[in-house]
Amino acid sequence: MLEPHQKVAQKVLETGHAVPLDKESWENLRESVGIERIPPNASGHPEAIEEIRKIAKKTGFDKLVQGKEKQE
Amino acid sequence: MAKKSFYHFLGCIIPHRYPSVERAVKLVFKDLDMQLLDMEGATCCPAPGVFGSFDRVTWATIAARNLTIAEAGGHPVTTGCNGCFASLWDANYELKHDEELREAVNENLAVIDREFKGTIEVWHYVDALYSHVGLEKIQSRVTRPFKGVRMALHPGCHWMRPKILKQKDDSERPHIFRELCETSGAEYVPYKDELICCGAGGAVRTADLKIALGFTKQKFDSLNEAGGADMMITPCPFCELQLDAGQVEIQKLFDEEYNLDILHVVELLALAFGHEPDEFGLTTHLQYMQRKSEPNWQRLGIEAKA
Repeated sequence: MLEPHQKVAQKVLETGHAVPLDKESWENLRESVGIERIPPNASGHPEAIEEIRKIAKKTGFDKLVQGKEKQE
Repeated sequence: MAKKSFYHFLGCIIPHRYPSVERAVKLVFKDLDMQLLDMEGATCCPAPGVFGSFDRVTWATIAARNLTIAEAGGHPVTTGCNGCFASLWDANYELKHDEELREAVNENLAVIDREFKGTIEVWHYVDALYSHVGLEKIQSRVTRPFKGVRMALHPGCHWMRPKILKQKDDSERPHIFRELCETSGAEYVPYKDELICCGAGGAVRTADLKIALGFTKQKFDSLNEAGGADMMITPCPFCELQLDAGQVEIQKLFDEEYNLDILHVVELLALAFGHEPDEFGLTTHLQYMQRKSEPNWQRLGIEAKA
């Protein structure tokens, strides 16, 4: 697994999304087009992210995508 | 008659990078008397290239978790992303047909008190519009026809493939996406590489941006060889990102300049239905933000507000 792919997978485990709402400017962008700053997905639902982490722990996916520095 | 309702699966790129698509689809579905319901707590689909390629059971479990949100409400899902559609439709199909996979997935879902039941269907915006509304009704809603505007298409890969299983359209001779786009009144421009990947999919953009952009460049060159177009329409935000922001990246990496407006099909329909670009934020596309530019209003046949 290439490192960039590991990083994308890690983002999903950290935020619930491969492309996260990780800057205020993205929230501003949403507001500028007339929709709520935080969408109704995992970006506003920390319990959803927790569920993804539990799944990854159960399947061992969290270990598969762990960075090399963490494995050592 | 009750409105047809769909759970709206946003995915990642539409709500977090191209919110104009999220706003546009709400306008279009409302105009066509269809209801979009929020899917509270939905996560990444998950990305089929990264998750599906490395761990099928984890991929299917996370997709199934998303599907359980819709199952609980009893309505089908719709999404405007080819990648999300690939994960959700494929997982839904595989889980309904592969008992061993379903058992493994439900064992994983049990740790979060969920269960995949297989009670709902997944629709792309394209086939929700084509099958549930119909071209005639869509066409009747058009008040700003794109008369004389030359339109190239990029259907992308996943919404109609694998064709034997999905049975949505003929992936090698597709017509549904074209017919949907043609309701806008724009003139379809064929080009040789219309059906190749935008370059982003299959986790290629993540692994090697330059290789990914090589595909994008090939598409643009193929279109230019065919005489060019005034705009390109896609049904996928990841393709949209690659084709839109990709033009800025190509300029940096290959020192070649392309200036083509890239629209998601629901943005095209919103405009054709008479909505103003400002109503859904057409100018917020990353290409325009990064280049500090605007859509080519004249070529699109739209009068921009001063």
